[in-house]
Amino acid sequence: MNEIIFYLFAILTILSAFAVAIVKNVLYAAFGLMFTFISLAVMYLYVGADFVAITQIMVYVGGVLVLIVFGIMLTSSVQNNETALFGRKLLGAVVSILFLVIIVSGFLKVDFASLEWINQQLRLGHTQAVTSQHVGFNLLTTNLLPFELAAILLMVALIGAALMAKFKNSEDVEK
Amino acid sequence: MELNHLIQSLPFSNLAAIASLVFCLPILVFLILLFFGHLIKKSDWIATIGMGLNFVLCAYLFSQIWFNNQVIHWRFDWIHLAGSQSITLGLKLDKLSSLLLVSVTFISTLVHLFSQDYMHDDKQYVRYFAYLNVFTTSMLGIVMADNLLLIFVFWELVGLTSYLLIGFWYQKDTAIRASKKAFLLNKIGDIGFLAGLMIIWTMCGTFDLEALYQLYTTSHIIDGNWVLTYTVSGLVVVKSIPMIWLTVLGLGIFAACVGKSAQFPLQIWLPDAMEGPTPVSALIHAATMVAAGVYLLARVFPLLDYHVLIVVAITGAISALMGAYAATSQYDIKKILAYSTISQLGYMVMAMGVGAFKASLFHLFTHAFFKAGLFLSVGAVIHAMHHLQHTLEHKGLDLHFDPQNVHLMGGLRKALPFTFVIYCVTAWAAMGLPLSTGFVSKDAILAGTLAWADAMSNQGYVWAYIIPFIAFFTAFFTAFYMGRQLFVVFFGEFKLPKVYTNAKDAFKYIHDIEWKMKIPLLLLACMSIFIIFTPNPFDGEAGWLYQGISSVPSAVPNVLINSTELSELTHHYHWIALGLSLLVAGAGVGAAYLKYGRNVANNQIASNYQSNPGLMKRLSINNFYLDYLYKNYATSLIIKVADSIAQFDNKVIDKAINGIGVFYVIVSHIVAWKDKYIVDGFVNTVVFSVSKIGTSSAKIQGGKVQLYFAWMLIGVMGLLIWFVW
Amino acid sequence: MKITLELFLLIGAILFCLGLYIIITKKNVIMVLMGIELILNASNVNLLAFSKFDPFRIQGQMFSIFIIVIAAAEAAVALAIVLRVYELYKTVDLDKINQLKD
Repeated sequence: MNEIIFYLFAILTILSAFAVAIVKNVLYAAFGLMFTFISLAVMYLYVGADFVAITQIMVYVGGVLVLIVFGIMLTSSVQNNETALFGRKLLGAVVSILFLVIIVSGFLKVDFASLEWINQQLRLGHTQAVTSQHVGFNLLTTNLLPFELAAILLMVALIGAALMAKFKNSEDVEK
Repeated sequence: MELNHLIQSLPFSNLAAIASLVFCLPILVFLILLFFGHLIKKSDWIATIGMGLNFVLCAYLFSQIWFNNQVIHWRFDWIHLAGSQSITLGLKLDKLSSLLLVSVTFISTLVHLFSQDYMHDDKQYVRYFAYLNVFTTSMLGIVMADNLLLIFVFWELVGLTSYLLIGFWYQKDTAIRASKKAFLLNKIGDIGFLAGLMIIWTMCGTFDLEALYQLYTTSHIIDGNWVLTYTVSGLVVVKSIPMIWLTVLGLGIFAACVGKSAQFPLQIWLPDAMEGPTPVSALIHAATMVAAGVYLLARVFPLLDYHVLIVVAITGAISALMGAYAATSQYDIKKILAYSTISQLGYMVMAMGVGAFKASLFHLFTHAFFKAGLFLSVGAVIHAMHHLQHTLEHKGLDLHFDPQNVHLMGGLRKALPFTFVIYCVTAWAAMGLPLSTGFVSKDAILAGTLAWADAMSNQGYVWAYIIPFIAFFTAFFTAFYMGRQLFVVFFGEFKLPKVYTNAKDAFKYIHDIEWKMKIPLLLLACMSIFIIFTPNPFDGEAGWLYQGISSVPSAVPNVLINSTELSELTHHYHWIALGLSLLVAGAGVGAAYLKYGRNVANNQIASNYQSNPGLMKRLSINNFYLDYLYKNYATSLIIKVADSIAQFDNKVIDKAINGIGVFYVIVSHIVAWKDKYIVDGFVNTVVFSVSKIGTSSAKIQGGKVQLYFAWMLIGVMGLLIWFVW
Repeated sequence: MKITLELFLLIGAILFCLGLYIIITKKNVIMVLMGIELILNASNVNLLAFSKFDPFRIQGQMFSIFIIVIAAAEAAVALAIVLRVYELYKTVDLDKINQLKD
């Protein structure tokens, strides 16, 4: 049962990402992206990353997507759906498929079970779900500095974004 | 002791399903009335029949629990935290709560029926029934909850619905103010409750009452510290805090009871709450909501240490005396009963404090019925007076008299014979005269106080005798004010025409009430006769209620008085208390007769509007000037503190912030100069050189970013292939 | 049907390549942003998949949390830039924004 749900969501992830790539209307693409994010969050639950799953939904679906939709509306690009030239599409397809082949063949060559730390876990059979408790513990001990830096970064980004979006016609002043 | 075993989930049984149905039915009715009430013609009947059905279900539950001696307990994990204890929710019905369930739904049904006529002319008729239902739900929630957190939630809901119902006539300024007052004063108590809950959580890690009881029994006192030891998921937890917190915890929970049950010093909201419709007063402010405080005390009774119990006893005694004394000179017919309710609740609280657990609960039930009966019969009188006002208006006499003023009534026994009989029966119980339920339960409480005082004086607390003294004094006043109301309202002459001389023949327009109001009155009067509760009119302990409810021994580590010792002493004092209470109640009624019954023909009005009443009288009318004290001292003190904080904010904090602002402006000017000439200069050089390079390399580029990206990727691909192979 | 590490890596790889495709082909700047988000998510999938074998230090999860935070910041700043660009050029078509050419 668990596996079936997982596969369903995996397929949903890929299909919706495909939809983002194929659909012409930008708003529809944003909608597809939402499905990708949500089903990714569900998949994260299967590796015991419940906190990340929640964060994924809150930040991506609740924050980034809303920003994107606002961006779409503010730049009135909903109707603006000219498609790229065929040549460009071909280039994109070739490059991305080649990449896929390289990556997949790359990780298929590696025997992960031979890695010491993975092997150890496999032998112990620890499949216990990692709780948010560990996340909190790690955030405030080992990763305290990055955590604080991330806070500063977020603040800087916030102020920067607000400033950039706010000041108008600065080029007029320069002229 | 493993905490997770104490609060493990318990299965959902058929009876638990019925109990949840009982809980949900009023919500359903509330929702129907809220959304479709204006579409349905017979919405009042939906509410009444729904409540009646609820009563039948409750009676079934009651019979199952009471006769099969079982406890319904359903508990489930609400929040489960890995590696620590769960937070549980649940539903628990034992004998006590099932009895309260029956009495709440019974009185609620009767009040619904009564309200159909009483509220018939009101525009907001449907809203009224909706509120009644949501109130009943939250009350049932308090009764059914198995943990303190859930009780707290429903406690707040009861406070909210009481607010809504007191302010039901929101066009009236006084009603709005009364509802706000009730809400705020209740909140003061609830803060105490919250503080108590926090201490409980810190110490015990659970709110479940059964688990708390188990944990308390295993706790010890070591070096003046209260020490709890238990395991959570196998890990040993040792919690230790100074003893004082055990007392603070109990006082906090008791504060909630003080707010809700209108005890000293928060009792001033209850008289004002009479601004609500009279059936609401009967349901909420006599039988159920105010009883919730006593019920909570009963629930946490084993968790209270003896300091708290002494405070409880003293608070109850003070409230009982103040309420009874204030009731002796009120002239609003409902306010007399409101003060009487404060006094009777004080009795119950005092009984809890002195350890007369069963007597307190016994009085809770008897009082619920006779006080609801009194309120409803007084409601009938008010209804009749209202009708009189309307009839006179039709006759062209536009008299704006107060239909609740007892000095305008008198001799109503001839005009309202049925109401008179019911009032007599219920007032008989309230006065505590023999053959009534009130007599039996009050006697039990009085015996309990005497026994407690005796036991306390053995421990060296001789002052404890003041509590039974106050209790008997209160009993005297109770009989006195009930007698006064009886004589002034129902005997003598009708006094309205004396004040308004143009309404000479008003008396013949007063009519008795209709059948829908008569049925509830009749049932409640029947419930005020001793035979309902006990076969022996002089001994409540023979009754089924006393036999059924078992008192719980205290679970706190420091106990002052042994409960078996107390019950033996209570037996000993039973007949003394009986005799004394008869004497005192008889004296009270006699005094009332001498003052108001004999010379009722005298012009009472003149004496009551006399220009300069004595100090004792003024104290009584104004309820010891508590409102005045609060308004002039407590409120103004808070306002002063707020003002001084505002001053501090303006003068000190704002100035400091402004100073910092100026400092930053100066610093930023310096930085700006540096930025302009040093940083910008550097950046400009870099930009200049980059643009040089850019323009020179732009010739091989199309300016299309995505193409650059694609080319870059092809390069990366090459790198990757080199890495992988 | 078992949920293996390779499966996660495969899904990550597919998402990554779809992101690349979007970035290269779409004309709208906002679509390009979406492609970048997809790529970030692909990297998150990989990190989390490996983090399962590190249940106590969970460095993968830590890393992905920071990635999510930074992605949020990136999206905010990027959209602000897009708005400015739109104001300047009155278009969000990347091919028309080619001032870099001269």
